[in-house]
Amino acid sequence: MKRLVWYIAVFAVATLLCTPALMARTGHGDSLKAEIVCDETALYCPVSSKNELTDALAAFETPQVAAPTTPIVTPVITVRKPITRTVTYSVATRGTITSDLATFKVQANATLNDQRGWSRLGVKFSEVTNGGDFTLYLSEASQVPSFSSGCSAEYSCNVGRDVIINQDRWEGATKPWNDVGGGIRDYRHMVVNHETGHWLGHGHENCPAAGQAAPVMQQQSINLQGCKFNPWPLDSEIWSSRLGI
Amino acid sequence: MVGLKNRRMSRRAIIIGLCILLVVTIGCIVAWTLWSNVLRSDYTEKTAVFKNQASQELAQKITSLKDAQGSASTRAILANLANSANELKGRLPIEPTILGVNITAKDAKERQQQVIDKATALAAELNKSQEILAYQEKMLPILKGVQAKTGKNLEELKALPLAWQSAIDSVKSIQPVDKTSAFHTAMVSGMESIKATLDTLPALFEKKDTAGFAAKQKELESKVAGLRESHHLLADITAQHDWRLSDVYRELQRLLQ
Repeated sequence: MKRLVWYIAVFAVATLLCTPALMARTGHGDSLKAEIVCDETALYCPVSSKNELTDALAAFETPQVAAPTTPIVTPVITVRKPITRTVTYSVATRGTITSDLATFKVQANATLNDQRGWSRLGVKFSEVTNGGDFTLYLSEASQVPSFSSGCSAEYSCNVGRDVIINQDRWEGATKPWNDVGGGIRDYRHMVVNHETGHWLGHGHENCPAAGQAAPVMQQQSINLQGCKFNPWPLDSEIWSSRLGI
Repeated sequence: MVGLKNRRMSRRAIIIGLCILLVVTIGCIVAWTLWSNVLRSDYTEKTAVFKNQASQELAQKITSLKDAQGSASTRAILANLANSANELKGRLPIEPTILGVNITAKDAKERQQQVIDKATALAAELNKSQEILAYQEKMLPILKGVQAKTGKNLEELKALPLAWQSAIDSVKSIQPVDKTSAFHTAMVSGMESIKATLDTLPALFEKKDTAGFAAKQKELESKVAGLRESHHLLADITAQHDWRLSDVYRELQRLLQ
């Protein structure tokens, strides 16, 4: 009997203690079946990219800049012979040189081998340390007449195998050139081409017709004769008595 | 004889006592069960109402994003939504207890915790979205400002790199959020590169070096094209974040169903 009483007591206490836990396990939250109205298309919104910045970036334009205007013209070029021979030249100086000689060498070589220049004769101009077919001088202005009495301190010159570039012109071009707003690089093209043209066998030329590009062998710094400044040889100038081309 | 009688009496008293204990116990169980069921049912109902309301509220706000005009308006809705996500946790029905004993079903408790976690995650993602938008809002006027600058004469050409330097400084002063740092770095480096090219233009203009100027203009166009392309990077970054936000929101909505 005592055992029976114990059994009943233990059962009662155990039941009392275990019921909440058992009930928790069975779960009573499954009746959450509320009708939720959900717009599926709104589940993804491009909220971080409102496109204003991406649009502005995608349409970003290159800053508008005005290119420098120049009265210098480039002639129509149709004559261009394939390179078949090399002309060598060395670079030298006379007098006190304040210009950057390295720049002089680089720019002179670029002009001589430019596709618009004398390379159209089918010639490659190659600088050598000494000698060469001609010598390209950068000369102090006052020293230019020392090459020949026919040369003036005012301009550049050619005497025999010496192609002489006047340092003052190299640095400052000429007044007429500057007055019309010609750039210094174009003047340098013109003066190197003009003096080298003499070495190639060319004399001075005249303006063929007003409004046209001046021949590179015209004395453009002195009188344009109605032509336009032009640093490059015309098609009609692509010949060389010295080279037999 | 008396002893025997006493022993019988005592046994009867024990049996009666046990019977009373049994009845009381069963009564308690029945009362507990009934009462806890009432409480749980009430909790379940409140939870259902809460979930329904929360789900609809979030859905409405998310839907309203579609009509938002501009990032400032979007940001305001996102902030509102983030607040809702945070408030959501505080509005969850209180779990029922009897005499201090929590009687919430275990899975209901787990789901409630999941709702709390997901609402927290949603609020965090929404805050990140706001940061990304705020970053873009700061960048936009700088870009538009520098875009308007031109170099139509020498004076303007000289002022142009200064304007770009000022824009670069402004961009650098913006603190990018983690997600936009790669874009930010690309922008700064692209703008510095453009400014370096712009630096060269005034001298070329003065020298009337048309060929040199034209070459630099091409370089400038190429660099600006590079800068333009960086909009893809920004679009990728923001789209990735929006998809993550969408995933979190979708999971929260699933938990609220």
